Formats: sequence, structure tokens, C-alpha cells
Amino acid sequence: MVVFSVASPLLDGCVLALIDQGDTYGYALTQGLRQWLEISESTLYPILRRLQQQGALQTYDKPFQGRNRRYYTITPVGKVLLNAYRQEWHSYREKVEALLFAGKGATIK
Amino acid sequence: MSNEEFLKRLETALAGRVPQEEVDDAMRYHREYFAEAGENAADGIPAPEEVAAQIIRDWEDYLRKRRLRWIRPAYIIAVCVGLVLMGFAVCAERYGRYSRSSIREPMATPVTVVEAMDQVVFIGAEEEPAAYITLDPFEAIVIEGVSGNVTITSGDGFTLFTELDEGESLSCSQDGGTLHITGKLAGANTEGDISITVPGWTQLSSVSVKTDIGNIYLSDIPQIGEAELETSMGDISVSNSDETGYGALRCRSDLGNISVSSVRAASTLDCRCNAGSIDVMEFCAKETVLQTDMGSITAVAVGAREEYEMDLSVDLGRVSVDGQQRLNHYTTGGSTYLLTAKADAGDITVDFAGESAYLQPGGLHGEAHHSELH
Repeated sequence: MVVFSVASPLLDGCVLALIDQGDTYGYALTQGLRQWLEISESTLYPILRRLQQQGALQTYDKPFQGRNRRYYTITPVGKVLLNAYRQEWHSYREKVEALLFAGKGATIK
Repeated sequence: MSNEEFLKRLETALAGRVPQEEVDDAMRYHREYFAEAGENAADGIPAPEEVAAQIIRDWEDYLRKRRLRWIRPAYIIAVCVGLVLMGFAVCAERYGRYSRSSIREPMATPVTVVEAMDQVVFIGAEEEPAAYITLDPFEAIVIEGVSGNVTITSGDGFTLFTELDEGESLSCSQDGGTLHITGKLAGANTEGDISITVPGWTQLSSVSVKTDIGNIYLSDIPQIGEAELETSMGDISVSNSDETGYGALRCRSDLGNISVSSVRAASTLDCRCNAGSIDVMEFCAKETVLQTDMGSITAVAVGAREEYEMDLSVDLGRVSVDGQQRLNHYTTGGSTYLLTAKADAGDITVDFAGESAYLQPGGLHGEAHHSELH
């Protein structure tokens, strides 16, 4: 069951994290993300374009079966952004967990 | 909806609203996507008008940020300084005056001022955000008088990245191998962030960070002579995923927590806070001092218990060493290291990790690390 939807900044971070693991193209990236997150009925294009405009991603074309695939690669700016997203996530998660499990005797460090 | 229909409607929705190259880029992406995903793939994505609306919004946003930059004289100054520095760097490279590892001579006009709007802004080259600056190599960092989170970590090169809101500014200068960052960062209600990367092989002689509000993160910088981290309100986190060799590490936080993991310090590891807790995991130092008024202290030391001379005291909390409860004031002799911990209201827990994958307790030859730096 999927209750929580993934908001845009978080998705930006996830996209960066996947590309950080290796250059990839639009379709493979979408499939890769779907393994983890419920993002049916969506296109990653606006996110990829925005990250490109921010200087976090760059593209290059590589021939595949008579056409070109556009690969995305992470830049140093993207790596710093990704790092920032990771840290933001840590503090966000702590706050939500502290709230969700308040009074349940769970220890949140 | 067929893929063809999607493309047609997307093109119609974008035409005239964004430049042709933006239309082409969006069309190209979705054409390639459909070629990979097969027929009826268009059913799996939102209506083309919806996608187009998002693209148009993003484009207008991007345009707004770019337009704003030119009306700011500070940008022009920064661009000029940037060009001069770039020219300097190119000349230096061309005439081989400086080798990669050497620290550059002080520059005549070292100050670059970055003033920016919301989020990432752009300066100089089209694709390079203003707040992202490539720095000359340095061996010392001094950050003071700023508010916001500060991150220092290893990366591909010497870089500075910062996100600033309207009205915020930041001064950054390099002088004789030292990176200075000063100035007001946060505006009235916002927090700015500063991220600095240095290559993983860098040996920093000293790192000094003093912030008013904000967290300080120091991670994966394996060699530091002396590190001094201070924040009035915020957490301090020092972590490493590889073998470290610090000379000394000193952390101060008034209201936040301090967490240190995988750190070997040749001389002292000194962590103090008022209200927060202190966690030190996998550490090893000639002398360790941990102190908090309100919080608890948890320490996992590398090596064996017999190696540590300990002085642990609490007022209200409890002391536990190696899983056993001890008296409020526990002292014991040891062969090699000194560990002092004091918690007024919280508990103190000390355990021993034995051998560590990262840290060799026997290898505390701090002077060697210092001399390697020069």
C-alpha cells in the first residue's frame, strides 16, 4: 500500500542519487526509480531539465540501435546538492519520527 | 492516448510559450522515452498539457532568476573578479609557476562577494551557479560570523557552494593558503548554507568554524592538524569513513548535540556542550574530555579498557562502564590514554570497541601527521 506521495524536492534528491551511481538515460532512470518509489503517471523530464539548468546535471548523446540516447551525468554542483539533500533528509526524518512515534516509547536518536 | 498524439499536444501546448530549443528538448526527451517504453507509454504519464504547464513554470522561474542577476552591481563586480582570477589561473597554469600541490601566493585583491537571490543563482558561465565557486587550493579554513549550516567534506576539487536568499551576502577570500569566509549570511528569517569540498587527499593544517546558528558537519576529511568547531545553537557532527589522523579536535555547542565518529586524534579530543548530548563512536585520542550540563554522554572507545585511565562523574545521572553500573564518580587507572567525562544531569556510558577497522590505537604518532603537512 502506498500512502505517502513523494514531493518534488525529495524526488530531485532521489534522481540525483540514482545518477550519482552511474550515468543513465531517461527511460532507464524512470524504471530505476519505480523500483523504489510509486511514481506511475509521471514524467521525470521537468525535474531533469530543472537540474540541468541549475548546473547539477549535464547530458551527452550516445548512439544506440541507430538513434541517440541522451545520457545524464552528475556535475560537482550536483554532488554538493545531493549532499545537501541527504543532510536535509536526515533532519527531516528525525523530526517526523519524533512526532509520529511520540509517546510510543520508541527511542529516536 | 497514442504516443504520437501526446507529442503533438505537447508541442502545441509549449509552442510560443518557451523558446524553440526548450520545445525541441522536451520533444526529444519524450520521443526517446516512447521509443524505449513502447506503444501506449503515453498513458503512463500525465496529460501533455499538464507536463507543458510544468515546463513553462520552470522556464519562467529560471528566466526570472537569470534576469535578476544583471541588475545587481555586485554580480558584475563578482564576474570581473572571477574573470581576473580565471585569467590569473590560466596564466599560472600556462607558465607553470605553480604546481598542483603547492599553495598559491597571496592575491592582491582576494575578496569575492557573492550576493544572491533565492536558491541557486548563476554567474559567469551560463551553467555555473554563482554560489558555486571553484577555489584555489588551500590548507586552512577559517569561517566566522556566519549563520547557517556549514558542511566541509571531501569532493572532486576545492569548491564552495552556497545558497543565498535576497539581501544575504557572504565574503570569501583566499590568502596564503587560507580560505576565509566571513560576513552575514542569514537574512531576517532564513538560514543559508555553506558547503565546502576539498579533494580527499588534502591535508588541512587547521579548520576553524564559528557560527551563531546552524549545524556544522565535518566529514571524510582524513587529515587535519587542528579542528575547532563552535556553534551557539546547532549540532556538530564529525564523521569519517576511512582512517583519520587529526592532531586535535575541539567541539563546542551551547544548545545542540555533538556527535563524533571514527576520529583518531594525536593529542586531544575535547567536546563540550551545555544542553545537548555527546556521542563519540570509535574514537581514539591521547586525551579525551567530554562535558555536558544537561545531556548524556555515550562513548565507544577503540582499544581495551585497560588502556584507558578514566575519570567519569555525574551529579544526577548514572555511570556505566563496559555494561556495568558504577558509582557517581568513577576513576580507574590505565596504561595509554586519558578519558575524562562529566555530565551534570545526564548519564555517562562508556564501552570499548577493541580493534577498529578504521583506527589503529597503537598508531598515535601525531607529530608525524603535522610534519607531513609541510
